[in-house]
Amino acid sequence: MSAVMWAGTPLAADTYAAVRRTTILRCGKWDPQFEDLSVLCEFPIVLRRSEWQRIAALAEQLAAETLAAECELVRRPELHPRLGLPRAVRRALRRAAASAPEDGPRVMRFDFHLTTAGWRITEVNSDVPGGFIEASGFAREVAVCYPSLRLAGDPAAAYADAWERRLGPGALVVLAHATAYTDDRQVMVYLSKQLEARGLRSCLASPADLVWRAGRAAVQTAWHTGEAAGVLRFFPAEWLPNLPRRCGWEHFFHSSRIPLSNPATALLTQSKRFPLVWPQLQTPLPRWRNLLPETVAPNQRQTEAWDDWVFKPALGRVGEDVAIRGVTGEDQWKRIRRAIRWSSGDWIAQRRFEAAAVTGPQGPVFPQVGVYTVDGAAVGIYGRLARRPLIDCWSQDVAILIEE
Amino acid sequence: MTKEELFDIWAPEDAVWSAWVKPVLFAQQTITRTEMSSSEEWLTADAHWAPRAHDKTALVVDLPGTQSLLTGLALAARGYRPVPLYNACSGVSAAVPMEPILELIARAAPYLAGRFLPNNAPPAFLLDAKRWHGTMTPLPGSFDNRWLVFPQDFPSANFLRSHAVQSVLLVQPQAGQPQSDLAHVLLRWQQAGVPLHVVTPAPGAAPQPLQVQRPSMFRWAWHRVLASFGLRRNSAGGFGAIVPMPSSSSG
Repeated sequence: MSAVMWAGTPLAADTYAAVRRTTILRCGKWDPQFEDLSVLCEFPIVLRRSEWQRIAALAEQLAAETLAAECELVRRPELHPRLGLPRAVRRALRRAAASAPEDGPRVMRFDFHLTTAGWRITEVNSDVPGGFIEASGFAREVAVCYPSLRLAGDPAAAYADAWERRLGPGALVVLAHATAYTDDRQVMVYLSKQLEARGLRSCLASPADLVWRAGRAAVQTAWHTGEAAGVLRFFPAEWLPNLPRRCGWEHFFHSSRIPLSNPATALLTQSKRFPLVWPQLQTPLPRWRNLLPETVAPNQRQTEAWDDWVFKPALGRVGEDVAIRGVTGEDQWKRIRRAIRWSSGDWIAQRRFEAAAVTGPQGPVFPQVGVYTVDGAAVGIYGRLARRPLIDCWSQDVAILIEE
Repeated sequence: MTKEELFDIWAPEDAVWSAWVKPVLFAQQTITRTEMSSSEEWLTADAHWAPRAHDKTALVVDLPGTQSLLTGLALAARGYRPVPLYNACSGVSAAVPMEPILELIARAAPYLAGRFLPNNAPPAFLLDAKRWHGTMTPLPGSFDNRWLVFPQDFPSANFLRSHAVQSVLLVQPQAGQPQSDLAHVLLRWQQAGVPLHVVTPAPGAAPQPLQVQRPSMFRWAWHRVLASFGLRRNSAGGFGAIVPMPSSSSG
């Protein structure tokens, strides 16, 4: 048993089936299966309370540093090309310095990994972090089965609370997302229920359904028309330029006069190339420097000695196209190496660390502890679990519970 | 009938293929009607073109709208387990109308429960052939709920074989190649040595061998992401604004 975290006893088969069904039908987890893999893990990971307090404090420090760095980066457009952002995004960001978008509740998620050298982070999801159903709904259902353990927090509730504090009862929050993508839709449905439980009104819509005038947005759909008091965005910022210009997507980057969560300027720190501009920043980033493995622009030397490095796309999400020797297949590595050669400015190389395994019921597992912060305060955990030291689409969602 | 009871009928806990049932429509269920009349249309649907259930064949039914569900129910009468894979939300002004399927799922539940299918009954995976093109051009302010299937939505070839499935029969309105997104699924099975056949669901129709051609981006790890991107891009990033019909499936 690790001194830091360990695997709990698996749920009995009938209990697990009940938890799974409730998570699907009541919490709205609509993607519980990935090929032959049941996505919801049948046992929890138990985290020592002192460790939770420790990484919660680290996450809060990271959140403060991230926000400060973003503020500086907004004023430093000369650094944006280094971040691997699309040209249209960079163009929109240039206007943010003069007219920054109004900040709504700020939500981020820092993904912690336990390594042989202690805790490390691999990235921040500062743009559109997901996982609320699993971190709040699924984890709560699992926690009920383990009376001696407790939840780290309820990120969805904390996020909705922050909206309530910002807007007050009756205000309309538009949840802007890719409506055709059921995996995204489920998150929006879950959060909309949280908002409505607090007396706010909600409308699920595409960002293209917003009509912007003088920095304010109205939603115009067949099911709802009205002025938005705030916009909760669950549409990656780098995809916004795919929308027609006339729908005003640039307001997510600048000039909005209603709260946005998160404003698209968050993309400046979401980029995995964010560490490449640290030397040019005046913002001190001691916690980031302490917790993030060495990160550099990839070059020929690293791709030839790739035992020591992990390669990631600057704007990659959910672990896609991450290359790790011994984990990534040879064919995929060849393709990634070719992509790096063609456009090295869209990639990073990150010094590889040795993840500490936790003994699971069927062998070693590698948990990722995603700590949410809302307006700078740590509010809960999204757990993912892999059978190999790479968190990607083949990972499971796991409830990470705190030892009492 | 609650949504839990409905889900338990269509995805019984102990049935082999229940894990792949897409829950989204069940989670949205508000219909409680459970009466069944003798005029229910699936009672007259014909599925005699299908192999016998003990022939160790899995079916993939890719027919438009409720036709796939009706076919699935007719197949249930022949011993197949219908596995709904409809992965879209219903809603006002939706590009792909889901209410008829929602309603039929609820209405047919007692009938399906009365089939007493064995837990290892071979699967009939049910898809809406109009999932990508919908039945109308999405207009500004309408609900774009078009969807695609991905290999991850199905069991692997290994899993099929380990549960005695020795071949797969594609049921679609016309002979020829499957839709592009489904081709990604079928080609994986084909390359793993699972024989494929295709049939049109007409009286007297006989299954023909199917050789799936390699779709673009086959086995590309980003297929899922790019396809989703394509959905957005081909609709001009629309989702309710300027939304021309997609020029092609991106799979």
